[in-house]
Amino acid sequence: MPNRWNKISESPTRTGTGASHPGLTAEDLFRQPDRVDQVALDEKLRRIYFWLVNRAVISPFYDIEFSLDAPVSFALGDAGAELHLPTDQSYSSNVLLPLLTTAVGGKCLLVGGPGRGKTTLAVLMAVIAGTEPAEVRRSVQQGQPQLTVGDLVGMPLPRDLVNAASLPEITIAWRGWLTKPVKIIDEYNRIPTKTQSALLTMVAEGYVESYDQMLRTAPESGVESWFFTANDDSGGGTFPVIQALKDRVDVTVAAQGFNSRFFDELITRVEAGEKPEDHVPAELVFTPTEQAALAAAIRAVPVPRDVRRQLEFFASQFEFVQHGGRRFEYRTKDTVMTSGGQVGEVIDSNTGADLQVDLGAQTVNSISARALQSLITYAKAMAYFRGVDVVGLDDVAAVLPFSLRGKLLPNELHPRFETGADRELATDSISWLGDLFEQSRRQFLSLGLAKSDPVGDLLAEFAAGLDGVSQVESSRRLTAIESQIQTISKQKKLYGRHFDDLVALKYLHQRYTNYLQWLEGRPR
Amino acid sequence: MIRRPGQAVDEGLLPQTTVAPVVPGFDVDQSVRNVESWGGDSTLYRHFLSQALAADDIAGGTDGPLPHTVLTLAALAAWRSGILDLRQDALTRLGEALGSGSVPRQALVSAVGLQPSELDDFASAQAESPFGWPARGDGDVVIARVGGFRGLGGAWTAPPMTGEHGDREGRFVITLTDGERWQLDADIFGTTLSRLPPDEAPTTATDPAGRPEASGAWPTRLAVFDTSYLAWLVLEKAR
Repeated sequence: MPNRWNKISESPTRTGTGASHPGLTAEDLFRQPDRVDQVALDEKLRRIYFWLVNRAVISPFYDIEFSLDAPVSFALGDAGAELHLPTDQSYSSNVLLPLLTTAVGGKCLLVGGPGRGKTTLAVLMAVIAGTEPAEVRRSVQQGQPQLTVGDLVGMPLPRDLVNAASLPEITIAWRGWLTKPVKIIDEYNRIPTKTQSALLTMVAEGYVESYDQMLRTAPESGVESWFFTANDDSGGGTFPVIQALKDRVDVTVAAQGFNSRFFDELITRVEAGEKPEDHVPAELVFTPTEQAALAAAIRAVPVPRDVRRQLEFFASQFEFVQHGGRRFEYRTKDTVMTSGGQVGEVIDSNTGADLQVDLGAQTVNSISARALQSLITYAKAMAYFRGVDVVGLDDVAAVLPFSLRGKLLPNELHPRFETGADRELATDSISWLGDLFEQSRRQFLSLGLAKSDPVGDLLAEFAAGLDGVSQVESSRRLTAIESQIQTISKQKKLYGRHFDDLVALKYLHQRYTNYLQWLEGRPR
Repeated sequence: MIRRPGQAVDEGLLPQTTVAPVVPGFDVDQSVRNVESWGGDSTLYRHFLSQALAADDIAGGTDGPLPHTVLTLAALAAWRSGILDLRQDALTRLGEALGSGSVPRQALVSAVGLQPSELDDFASAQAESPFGWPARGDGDVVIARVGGFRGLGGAWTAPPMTGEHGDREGRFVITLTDGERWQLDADIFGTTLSRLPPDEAPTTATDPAGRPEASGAWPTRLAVFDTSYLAWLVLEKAR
């Protein structure tokens, strides 16, 4: 029966100016447009998104902005606030990122005060992934200080506990939620540390173990996503969240507050006593086959070389810290942190580098390979969602702040956060991370790295293989590497980007040295 | 007066029909929605389809239009409303209808807004070029104005700088002063503009005259001016 929940986009949700429809005939004129069950998966994903923001959750926040050209901006107030009106389709992060999480099989942390719809959003994602609403509500794991591992995963059957002669004879009554495609852990920062460790195995490894019994948590589609909610992500809660579990979170999204201009919708819901998860149109629910195909299609979106290069450049900024150690390879933030030192103070003691230029000085840690993998996955998902063929820098820029939030941490001693207009960035990590990437893009261009990449050329030359490379050629390449190191050493100020280049050059030097020794030592 | 984008053939038209005609067995409302979603002018579509069906009703004398008549007239009216992608189907149906006499001439004429004496010339001119038109003047004739300033409902935020012929007749590549490039596809009844990706090299005409083949009888060029956000598609004198 048609009702106010059933309205979904009929027209394609993303069309370019002057979209072409080659081969149209008169019969097509009288035909209904493709229905959801016939449309491509990216179109279905977009229809779900628009149903969610327009029908299910009241979210008029378009904070993920895309513009074909410069957006119209308005200065507001006297404290530097600006409102941008983007010129291309833009999105609400607190709906889109959870949706992309469901699509890729990721892990999403929803943060925000009580009553902001965090759990509702997660429940909606579970319904979209094919679980009945009532079952989803039963499956939500409520974090609380007395939650035990048994509460979370299930109990051994008492009969077996009495009769079993060995652990393999004990049957575990596994909890049903463990194999659902979407798993929801409410208020995960209220779960005791021991239970968090059991949760970590599930999240990280995709299985759960109890009494020597093991259960794979992947659903039929092979695509499982996790949603955690928390009232804050700055260490609050009954129990601190273990770092390893935090690190598994792919994206962190803040649930936005309620916009009072949408009060009528709220009253309507109160009067009707309706919950959006009970009204998800059947056309918007993914089958297991569709979920598997969707995740595969997202992974297949290519990341072109120029985007990879800019990401490399960005990621290279943060590992190095000049006085972090003595030997070159140990001059890292990780060396300082794992020894109990204060990275901010070490950065502060380096008077050689320009803190305004050194992006690495703004952080107390670096980006892990896992965080980079998440970033790439979500950038692919964003490009796929937008219907573009390859990942663009704008896709990366759109997801990067949410992907690195809580992982790349600000150096509060940096002058940027102490005074002036940027002071507010110390508490607004999404804006800071977005700005950090923007600064990196500008530096990349101003250094001319888009046109010239000598270290990249040397790595590419090596990647082509050593078959047939002569002694003379190997020596020439060794000289070229040393020459490149010499070029960098002539610069008095050393930055993170140099560190990664130098480590890579040393690696190349070793590989050629070993090869040359083998050439010289083999019988002629 | 501010010039707006539009087709020359539509100038001076005052479409009267606001509701879609009712045709048993056909969902005309759906066709109106499709025309809109494909970038056509639904008001023009309703106007020309209504006129054509009324002419068929007068000339036909049957209980209602035959299905193939409705399809022919709808294809012509939708093409006339600016949907380039229907041109091929509409011309095929027009040729068949003229050859077999299966659709009253007056209805065909009404579907594309011509005079009765112009129909055969129109069909043969269109067989030569997308810009073929029976009432052709002696000098250069403006066929369409495209683009326009976005602030006034147009497509662009910078004026056009150059307009080159594309890789086939009716296609042009336009470069704006801000470096953006757009592809224009056009025929006598409509145009579509699509933004070209910044790193994609457009395919432009490579023959010495800088024009694709088959345009000799109906040569066109794209005129741009420093003072306008519009690009003007001009039909030149036959060579």
